[in-house]
Amino acid sequence: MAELFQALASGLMVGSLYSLVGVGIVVIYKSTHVFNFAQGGLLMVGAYLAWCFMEQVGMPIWLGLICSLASAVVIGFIIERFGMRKLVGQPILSLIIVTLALQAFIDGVVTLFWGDYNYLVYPTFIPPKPVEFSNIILSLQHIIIFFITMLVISLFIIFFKYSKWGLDMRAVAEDHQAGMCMGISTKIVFILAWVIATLLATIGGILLGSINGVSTTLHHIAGNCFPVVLLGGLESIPGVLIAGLMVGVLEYLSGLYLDPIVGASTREIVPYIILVLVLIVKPYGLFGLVRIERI
Amino acid sequence: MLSLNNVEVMFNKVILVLRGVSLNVPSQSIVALLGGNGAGKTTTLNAITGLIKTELGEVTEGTIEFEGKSLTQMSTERIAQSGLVQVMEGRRLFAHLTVEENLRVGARAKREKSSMKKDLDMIYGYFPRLKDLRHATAGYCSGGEQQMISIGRALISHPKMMLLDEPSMGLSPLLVKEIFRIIKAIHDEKEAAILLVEQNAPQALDIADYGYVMENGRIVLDGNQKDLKENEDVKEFYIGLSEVGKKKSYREVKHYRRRKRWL
Repeated sequence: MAELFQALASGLMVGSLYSLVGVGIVVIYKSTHVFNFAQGGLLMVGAYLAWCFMEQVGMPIWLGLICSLASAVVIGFIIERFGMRKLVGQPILSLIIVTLALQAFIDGVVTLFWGDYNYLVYPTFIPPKPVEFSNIILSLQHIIIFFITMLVISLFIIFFKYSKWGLDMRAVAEDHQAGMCMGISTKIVFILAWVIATLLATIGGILLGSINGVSTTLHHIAGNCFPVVLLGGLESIPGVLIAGLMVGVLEYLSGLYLDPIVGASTREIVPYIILVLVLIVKPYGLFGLVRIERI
Repeated sequence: MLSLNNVEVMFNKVILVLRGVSLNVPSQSIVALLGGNGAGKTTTLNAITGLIKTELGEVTEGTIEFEGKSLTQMSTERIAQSGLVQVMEGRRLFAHLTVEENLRVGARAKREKSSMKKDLDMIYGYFPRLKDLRHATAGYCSGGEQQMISIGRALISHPKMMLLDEPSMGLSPLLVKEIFRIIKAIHDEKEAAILLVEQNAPQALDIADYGYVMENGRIVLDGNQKDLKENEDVKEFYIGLSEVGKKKSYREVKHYRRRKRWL
């Protein structure tokens, strides 16, 4: 029983990180129709930058966090302004390939600067204390991380749903030209989307780094985020939230129950199996927007 | 208020679509721009609001001025914010947003601050139907309702001038009448100038003060409403009558060809 609850807790924690990274992908997809394959890379850069500020530069923790978030904003801006902006109006496939290139580029840069530093540890800002409920032992870290990601995602949902900028982003997502005719600056919307995505990736990177340690394999989390995003429906933020938690929990449950039967690790393939099964029944994903076509 | 002077538009640096279009929309007037498919009507509007830049087009010659300012270098969103709003062809709603959200987006082009509630009420005054539908998903509204949203979305920003691109497209004759009545009412009450692009020549000429006829990227004919309505060529090619009251015979194709060359 205790094992089950621990698996559930770990699953929710990892799942919430999937959602956080996934929301970044969804935001970019929704406003620019580009699927950002570099989201995992952005997460890794964020994690390394935070470590760099705290350990190499020697800033106090709070200042290091602020600086890494600020640099995320700058990175997002630079990618949009000098990368994606130039390609507006080109076939969408070339923009998607550019994000793949960006992923490779980020990989290279990180290896160049910090290739020798693997499994780095942050100064502890979340105490790694165990919490006991009757006989179930949960990690306080996991609980706090879960709540931080949920808070960030809900803040973002509120922003997207009710703020003026959120409305602009949703409008531009549907029709760039009509949006421009209404006086919305698509440039600002695109920059906003990339900045939000890098911010979310950086937050995810720091949280993930604080439990797994910062290493050059951090971006592998994105491998599980892609099925999460597709499962949620590619355009739905609540969808990606639920899909993330679902995949995280199922991963850990399969690790608990399936691994002994199969005799090998099933964690890596579980998200994709769920994805295939769900897409057979619901081709738009769990909460995807069904294309409105009136005949 | 708006004046185009010998405007040439080229797409992809090779395809010349507008070959010297000059037209003038005085303030507080309704001007109709008529013409068949592919005449360049929509391209003219897109050239005015700069949308051609998103389609790899550019104004290669001539000037476009709105209240004395050149528009050719301005971005589409700045043009909209300066009070020149285009209602695009085919409604182009934000389909997954609600009706009210669509209208709220339209208000982003507003020049002066005014209360959103009052503006929304103004739109619901013109289109009472939309008030009942305000929380409905715009994409599922009927064609007429969508056209109302699309006009309301432009109107909510209190534009000095509206460019309407085929508001009658795909609507039943009764609805077309209704839409034109509302356009006329908007014009009379809000004192906004309107440049109306239409294929439905008789309806458009009913409410317009002045009209231009386009063909092959050129203005081939212009005149005030009365003259155009009386004009034999317009009657024949756009209203579909060879003599008043008689239906046009499609056997006289040769005649059509000969008469088509105005310049």
